[in-house]
Amino acid sequence: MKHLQGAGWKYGILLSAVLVVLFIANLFVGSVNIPFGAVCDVLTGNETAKESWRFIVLESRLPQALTALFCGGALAISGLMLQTAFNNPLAGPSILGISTGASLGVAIVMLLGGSMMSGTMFQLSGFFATIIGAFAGAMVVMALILFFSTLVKSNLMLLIIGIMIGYVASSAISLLNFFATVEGVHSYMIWGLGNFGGISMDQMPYFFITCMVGFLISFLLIKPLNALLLGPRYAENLGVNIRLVRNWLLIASGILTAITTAYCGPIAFIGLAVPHIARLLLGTSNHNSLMPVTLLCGGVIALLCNLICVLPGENGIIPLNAVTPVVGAPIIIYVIVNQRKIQYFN
Amino acid sequence: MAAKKDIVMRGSDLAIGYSRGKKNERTVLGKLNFTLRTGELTCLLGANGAGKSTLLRTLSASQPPLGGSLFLKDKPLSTYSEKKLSTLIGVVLTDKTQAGGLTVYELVALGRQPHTGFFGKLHESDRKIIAQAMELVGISHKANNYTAELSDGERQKVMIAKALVQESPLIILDEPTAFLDVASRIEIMTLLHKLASEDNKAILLSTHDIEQALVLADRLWLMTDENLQCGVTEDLILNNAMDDLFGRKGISFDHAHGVYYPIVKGQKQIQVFAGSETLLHWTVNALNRHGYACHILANKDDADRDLPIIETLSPHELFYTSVREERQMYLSFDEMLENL
Repeated sequence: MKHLQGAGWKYGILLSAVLVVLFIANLFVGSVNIPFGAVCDVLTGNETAKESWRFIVLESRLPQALTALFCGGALAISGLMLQTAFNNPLAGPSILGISTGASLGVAIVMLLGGSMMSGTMFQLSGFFATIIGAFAGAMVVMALILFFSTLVKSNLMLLIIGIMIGYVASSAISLLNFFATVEGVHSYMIWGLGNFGGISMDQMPYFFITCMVGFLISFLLIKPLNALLLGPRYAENLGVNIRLVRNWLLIASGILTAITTAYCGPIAFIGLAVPHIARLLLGTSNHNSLMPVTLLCGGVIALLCNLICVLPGENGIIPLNAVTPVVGAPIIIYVIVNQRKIQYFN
Repeated sequence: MAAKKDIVMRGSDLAIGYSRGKKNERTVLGKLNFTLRTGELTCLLGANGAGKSTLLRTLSASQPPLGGSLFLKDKPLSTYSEKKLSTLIGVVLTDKTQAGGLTVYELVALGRQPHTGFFGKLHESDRKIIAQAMELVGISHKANNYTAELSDGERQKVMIAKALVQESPLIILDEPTAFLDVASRIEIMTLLHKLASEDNKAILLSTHDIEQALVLADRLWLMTDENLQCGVTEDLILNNAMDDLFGRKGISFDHAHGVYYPIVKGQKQIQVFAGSETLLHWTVNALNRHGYACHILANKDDADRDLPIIETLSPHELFYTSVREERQMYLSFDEMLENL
């Protein structure tokens, strides 16, 4: 017990340090080559040789790093809660149909509204419409799942319903794509590749506050989450109001998934893989230490992925969703192959 | 020792079953009358599908009763909040958990949740209670092991410790000894009996382990398709209540030994005389298995000349006398059964 709590602190401090290093690295490395000294000057508020460098560092790299940090944490926490709540190691925001719902919302805005928006998605009005679409889509799916949770008691059945809703949303997206304009399909595809660069400094406070609300609810759920490790009937016997807790869990993970998907596109694998990385690191499924470490891990992995994205330098940016599975898939495979070694799900 | 036996739970005319709205009720059993007292270990016995789990779920407030009244202490069970209930009833279930990544200590500590604050922080008093419970069930030496590393018997002890730290007067266990070997079964049952008598808990458990239940239960609840009979073990056995428990033909209850055995439908009859109770028991056992109905002879001279006789004087001296008065000696049961 003492030892494990120690591990929580140890990894917490270690990850925080890595997080800071990666965050700073994200400010210094980008597709535009800016000298090390110049970035230092920008950060310390000194004059730089080119005014554009100041703009790139403060208005592009800084918000992008912040976005990656929060997005990673949000998706990871969301995945952790869903895995515990649904008693399933392969649950995650994308599995439950929440991110597919967000995608459908965006598809409706971009592909149906595309003709009205003159095709370019990066117009301001279009951007906000995208966010509203994603948020609405995610919330509608979440409301559906909450509704079904009043009818279905079994978590596994609810998970399957979530997957089914995801399929229906996917087929609706296919249909919209089929009838949409070429420009609409293209901009939808670009959004679908995922990108941490979609939030400006002006929008950052809204993103930040929404994430914080999600994190707050999540951290308040640590005690019932631990009880849920024993399964719903044991948890009930420990005084947990299962229905209430499950609703809050879905709301918190819904908010976190919706806000990240809305701003950054459907980001694969982080929600699924990071909770497993955190468990492997800590060697415990006790949420007291697992929840904060998962949050930090999510931030670290997302910052790392963002860094990998800009590695080609002047040659362009690798799409985010081409990077996250490369980081995430080996971990999932490891989890499946080593199920006997990994003890937290039996 | 003579702690006062308080009534913890009382059911009168209770009906249990499943309900999907008022019009779609499926009653499993009705008219159940029973009491649970502190300091007593009660074993619920019954055939598969008789409704044991349904009854336990109803008593632990996981599902509502369909009729009658069910009192916990002095108030109806349904009037308690979830929070309050968690300090009055502790359960041990057969449910699969995903707590393999928790240490034994952490899992037992979860049982303190009804008593801890919003964030579940453990105080010194909580730690003391957890340590005591682990000591009591004999799992202290594994406190820092992952529960995934435990044997089934040890895991069951951990869950019992979890129920203990809830400090509830009533503990309900659903088949706590299923999947366990004989040694662990005896250990767990003895532990539960000790907890009932020494810690003055009311303990109710369902089991298929009739042998242990008859030895250790203070009271038995016998559940059949028709009703629930409650009483002290010996009263029930000697009033033939056990006979119809499984309500099936071909099974009979041995009142002397407290075990169920299949009724022999053999056409062949044989007389048995043995040098001791033990030899008699196993001789009859062997012959029954081979389709012989046995007439037990108290005295060798009472033998009926029209039936063959088996005499077992020791495990290595078995005599077979046929109706034609031919006498044959066998050196083992193997040899005897081979030549019958």
